[in-house]
Amino acid sequence: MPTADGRPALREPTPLSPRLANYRIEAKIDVDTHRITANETLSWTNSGIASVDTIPLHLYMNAFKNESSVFMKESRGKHRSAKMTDGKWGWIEVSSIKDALTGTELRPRATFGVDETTLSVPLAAPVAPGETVALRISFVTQLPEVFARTGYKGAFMMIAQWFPKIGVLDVLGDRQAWHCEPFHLNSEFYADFGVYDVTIDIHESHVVAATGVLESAESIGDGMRRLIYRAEDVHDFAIMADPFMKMAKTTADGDVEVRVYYRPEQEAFAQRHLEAGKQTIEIFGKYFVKYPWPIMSIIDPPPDAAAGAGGMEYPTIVTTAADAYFTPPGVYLPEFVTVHEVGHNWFQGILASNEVDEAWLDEGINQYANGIVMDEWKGADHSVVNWAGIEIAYSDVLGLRGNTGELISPVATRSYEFANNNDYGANTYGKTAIALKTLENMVGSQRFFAALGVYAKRFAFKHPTRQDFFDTLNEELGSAVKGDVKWFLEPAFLGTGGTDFRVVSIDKRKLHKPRGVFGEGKKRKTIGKDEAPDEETWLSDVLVVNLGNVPSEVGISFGFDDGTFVHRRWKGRTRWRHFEFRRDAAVTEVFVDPGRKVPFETNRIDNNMRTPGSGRASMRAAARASFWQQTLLQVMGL
Amino acid sequence: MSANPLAIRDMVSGGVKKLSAHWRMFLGLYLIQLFATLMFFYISYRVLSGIFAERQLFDQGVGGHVAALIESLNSHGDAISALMSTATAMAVAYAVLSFYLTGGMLGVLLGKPFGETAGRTFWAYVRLWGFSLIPILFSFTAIGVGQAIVSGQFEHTFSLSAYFGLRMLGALPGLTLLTVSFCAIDYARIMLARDPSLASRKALWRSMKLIFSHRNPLPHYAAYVGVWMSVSLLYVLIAQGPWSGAGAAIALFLFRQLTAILRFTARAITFGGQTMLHR
Repeated sequence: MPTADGRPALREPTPLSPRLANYRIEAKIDVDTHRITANETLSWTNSGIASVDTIPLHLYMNAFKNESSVFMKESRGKHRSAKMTDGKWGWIEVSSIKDALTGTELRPRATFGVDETTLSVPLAAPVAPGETVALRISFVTQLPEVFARTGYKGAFMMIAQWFPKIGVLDVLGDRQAWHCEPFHLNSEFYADFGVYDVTIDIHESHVVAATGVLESAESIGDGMRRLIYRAEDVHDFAIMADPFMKMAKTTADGDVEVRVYYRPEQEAFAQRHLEAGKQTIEIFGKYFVKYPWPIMSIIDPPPDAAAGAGGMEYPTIVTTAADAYFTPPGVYLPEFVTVHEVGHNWFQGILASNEVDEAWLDEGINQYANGIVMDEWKGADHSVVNWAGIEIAYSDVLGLRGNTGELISPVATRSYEFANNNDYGANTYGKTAIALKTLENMVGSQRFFAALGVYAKRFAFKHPTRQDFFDTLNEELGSAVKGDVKWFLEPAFLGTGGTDFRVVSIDKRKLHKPRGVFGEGKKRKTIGKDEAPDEETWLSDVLVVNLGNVPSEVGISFGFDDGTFVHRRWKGRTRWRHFEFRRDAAVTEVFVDPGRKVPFETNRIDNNMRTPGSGRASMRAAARASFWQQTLLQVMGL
Repeated sequence: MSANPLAIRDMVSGGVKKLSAHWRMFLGLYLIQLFATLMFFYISYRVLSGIFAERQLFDQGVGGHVAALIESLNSHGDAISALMSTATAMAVAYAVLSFYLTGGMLGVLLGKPFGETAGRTFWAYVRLWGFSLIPILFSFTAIGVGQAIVSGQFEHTFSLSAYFGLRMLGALPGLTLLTVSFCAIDYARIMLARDPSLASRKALWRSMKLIFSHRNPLPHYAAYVGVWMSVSLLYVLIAQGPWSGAGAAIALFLFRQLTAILRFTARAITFGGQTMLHR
């Protein structure tokens, strides 16, 4: 029998959010049929500026009901590397929706949206601003075989997106509008904060982890037990149940209990995930806001469920992935997945941006911020791989992933309006992180972390938007660049393309007094080489351009034939610039961004030039290649 | 399986003696291979220096900066791909040339003139190659099937050693068949060098029977494969070092050639031993 956590649901005594959407759910989980029968009381407070007579509910699980759902049409039954199993559908059926005050049955008048993942419920009476309405909802949820973050695989169950959930009423100026989009392939979630009191009846064979804290656990007979969870200032609730899981735990940031749930065969990875969770909580807590909840549960799904259930975030509970033979200690992919998912407890868990319309605000900023954790924890030079003599830095991975020049849409595109999956993923995760890393390198790490900290504190437990993010960065970083950073943010996030520096030419000649014909008539005089010989001073002219769409400040290193180097910084607001040097030595080599501080660079090969060229590296490479070619000869011939 | 008076040790020492006796021929054969290698070296050098001589990023990549290397090669993917195709084409051409060279070499080891045997066995070897595709493809199919069988376990494999263990386990039946096939091809070539009028198909069949009716051909060939793999592995381990500077580059070149010569020598000694067995 699990013991109650015996801790309040928050580390701080006072509520942190407006708590507009509160849920009380009594759920019975059938571990054999993977079916949940539940009653839910939803209490919603109108924070808008006008009365509301209809409320929309998300019924996410119906995305997996049949091939007619928006999700299934867009995904063609595939999500990440998982496939929807034919015949193992998931669905949610709402049998009753009653006004809790009057008992009026509302279900018959409720209508589905473009598919069955949203349900519009006309209320018995309008809800005025500031008033609260409570609905009693009865529903049954059938889990699919694990797919797109939820479902079962064998005895393992990841129960997510499983209950009717109200949309978000946003106010923009003098207008208010509901955000309750159908469940799209690439859209995640958007919800108001609230308090969740969830009672779970489940067979006692299963180990359970869930959002929030376990308030009580008791046996209720027939091999069943009742677990009561409470979560405060969260916007979702997820459950993991599995009979084979073990649990390891540690403490982070003084009193946060970090837990990893894992199958015994994955024990070697459990400690890695545990440490990754701890590092994230402490480093994010240091730079942004303190982790507000007392527990963080990291679920390490069994391998056959990892593709469908792994790598997803819910408040205080996340799923990780990447336990595999190709990730030995030193290849930090499992750690990174955990850092990413735990990091989402800030970037969307606390800063609850609209993941449907502005997915980059949580995925991309989080992806960028994960690098802060990995660099501080593992060392910036080898924060992704430090194995068998191979060192790969997080910033290098960002740069290599950033095919920003080839992306079709701008970052700031609704998640379901990208041209394709790659366009969504590369923009939302990669390009956003690359842009932010480039900005960090421009203004300095500490200043940039501080600006993100201001953003996090200012919008914690709110719904920040792109404008909020831009405004905060402009305010906090403007002084570093003598103005603002709109010149970078707008093309980087609202436009396509990236930065593409190129060294176009290195021209050099010795200076001499002007030669030619001077004067008229008798005073005409021709001055040639003898009268104006070459001096010792060289004039070197280097033309550097940015062929990309995004301007960026950049450092440039100029090497001279006397072995000296000069470093210059180009503000990069114009498309090209000449750099001129008058010295006793001529420029022989130029390297734009030698420190790789502009991961936004789309084509680094022409960032550098030397004259004359050198074939030394080519010779080394050719020697290596020809040995392997000789090996091929020996295999194929005599 | 009949008892064979020749032990593996005898086959090896006999091979060494033949190598000593015909060292000029083997040196010549090695120089042909080296020439092909140097040709590819020259082509690669010209292509790479044409593309990258002015780019310091490539220097960083060759110096061990993984991201710089990927960025450099990605930026000229077409040229790199063309270089790889050239390497493959040269290897195929060398393989065809080897039909001729192997015939001549085996002729000399059997006491016949190089040119005459090479010329008379060339087309027989081409036909033998065609017939050999049957056991070779069968072996590769077995490797593929073995890999497909073990790949079901990869999801539950959590260490590299277990992964490679499984891979090897899956490949083992196919690799064994492949070793048998190549060993049989060697003996078939010797039979054809001895009697060019023999049909290639028959030679392959008889060599199959030979290697299963004698105790030593397969272990002898397996020992050669073992030496070849060990020398290659040793190279990979030692070549991981920094090797920077002009002196190191020369040392590395010599070390690579030593590796190639050792493998070639092992091949020559193996052929020599095989010709002793098949009298």
